[in-house]
Amino acid sequence: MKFARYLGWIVQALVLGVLLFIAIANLISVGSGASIFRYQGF
Amino acid sequence: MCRVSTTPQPEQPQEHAGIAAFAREFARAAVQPALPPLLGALAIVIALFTIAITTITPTFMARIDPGMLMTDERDEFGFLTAYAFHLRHDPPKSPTVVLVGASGFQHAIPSAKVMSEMLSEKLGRPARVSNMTIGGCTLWESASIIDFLDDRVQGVYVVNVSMSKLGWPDSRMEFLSQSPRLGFSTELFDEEVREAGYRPSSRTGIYALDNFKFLLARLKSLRNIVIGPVKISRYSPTAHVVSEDEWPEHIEEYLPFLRDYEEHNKARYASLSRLIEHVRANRSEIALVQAPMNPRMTRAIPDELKQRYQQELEAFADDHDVPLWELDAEAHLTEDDFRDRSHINSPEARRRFADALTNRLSQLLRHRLGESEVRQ
Repeated sequence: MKFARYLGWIVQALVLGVLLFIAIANLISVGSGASIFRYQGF
Repeated sequence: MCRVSTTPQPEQPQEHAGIAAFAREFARAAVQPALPPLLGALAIVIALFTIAITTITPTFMARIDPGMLMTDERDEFGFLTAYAFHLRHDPPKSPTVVLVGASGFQHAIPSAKVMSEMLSEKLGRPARVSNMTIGGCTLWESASIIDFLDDRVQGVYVVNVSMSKLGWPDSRMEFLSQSPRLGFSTELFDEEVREAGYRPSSRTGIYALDNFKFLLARLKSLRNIVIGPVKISRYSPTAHVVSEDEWPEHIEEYLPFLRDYEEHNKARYASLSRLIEHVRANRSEIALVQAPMNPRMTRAIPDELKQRYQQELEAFADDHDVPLWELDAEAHLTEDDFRDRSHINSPEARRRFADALTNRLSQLLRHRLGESEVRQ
C-alpha cells in the first residue's frame, strides 16, 4: 500500500506543482505589467 | 473437443479486493493534503522555473517555429522576435533586403515570398526579402530590429517613415523602456532610451530573465505545445473599411500626430541619424520609404505643414546621402485602394507598390553588388 500512497503523492505534487507554476507566473506577469501591447495603444 | 472449466477461481475476489484497496489508497493520497506532496509541488515549481530559464535561450528562440511563440494570429511582436532570432542564427546567403516599419508599410506590400520572387526576377539572381514589419512599430523599435540583425545580416534595410512616426514624443519611450514589446534588447535601443531621458532596464545576461515580461505575456502560447504553432495573419480581408460618415472623425484622429511632428521631429530625425550611422558601420545600406497615404487624407493635411515635412525629410535624406522613396504616385495609388487613411486594401495596389519598390531595390542592390565585386 505504500506504493499506492507514494504514487498518489506524486500525482498530487505534479498537478499542484504545474498549477502553482502557472499561478506564480501569472502573478509575476500581472504584478510586473507584462502584457501584449499592440499598435499604438499605450 | 474443447472443455471449459466452470469451477470458480478462488484467487479472483482477493485480487479484486487488492486492486480496490490500492485504488482507494492511491485516490486518498492523491487528493488529501499532506506535507510530502506539498514539498514535491514546491520542488516542481522551482524545477519548472529553472528549466524555463535554462531552456529559453537565444538558440532555443532560433530553433522554435515562430508561430509557437504567438498567443494569437495577430501577435506580430511574438512572431517577429522568433523570426529575427532565426535570421540572426541562419543569415541568408543571397543578397538580402529587410523591410522594417509599421502597418501602413506592411499593408502596402505582398508576402515576403512574392517580394523575393519579384526582386530576384528584376535582379537576375536569387535575392531574399524579409518582411519585418509590425503593426504599430515605432521608429525606436525599427532601430532595435535593425541593430539586432545588421551585424549578421548584411544587405539593404528599408525603413518606413511617415509624418506620424517622425512625430513621436520622447515621453512615449517611458512605457516602451519599461515594457519592451520585442523579445530582445539592443545597444541602439538602450541608447534611444537614454536619449529620451530614461534609464534602460538592467541586464543579467540571462535571456529568459532579461526578457521575462515579453515571455510571461505569452504564457498562453504554452497551449501551442498541444495545438501546434499559430499562423500569422497580416492582412485581414474583413478589416473595417472607413465609411463616408466616419471620414471626418477619422481625419480628426490623425491631427494630433501632425501637431506632434511639428514639436518632436528634431528628436526623431536625430534617432534616424543614429540608425543610419549604425547601419553603415555594419557595412549595410539603408533606404527610407514613405508610408503610403490615402490621397483623401493627404488633401486634409494643411499645405504649409505638408510642404515643410516634405522639405525637411528631403533635406535630411540629402544630408545623410540616403535614398528616399516616395512611391504613391509611381504605384498609381487612388482613394479606392485604401480602406482608411493609410492602409491599402487592394491586392492589385499592393502589387503595384511592390513593383515600384522592387524597381528601386534592384537598382540599389545592383549598385551594392557591383561595388562588392569590385572590392573582391
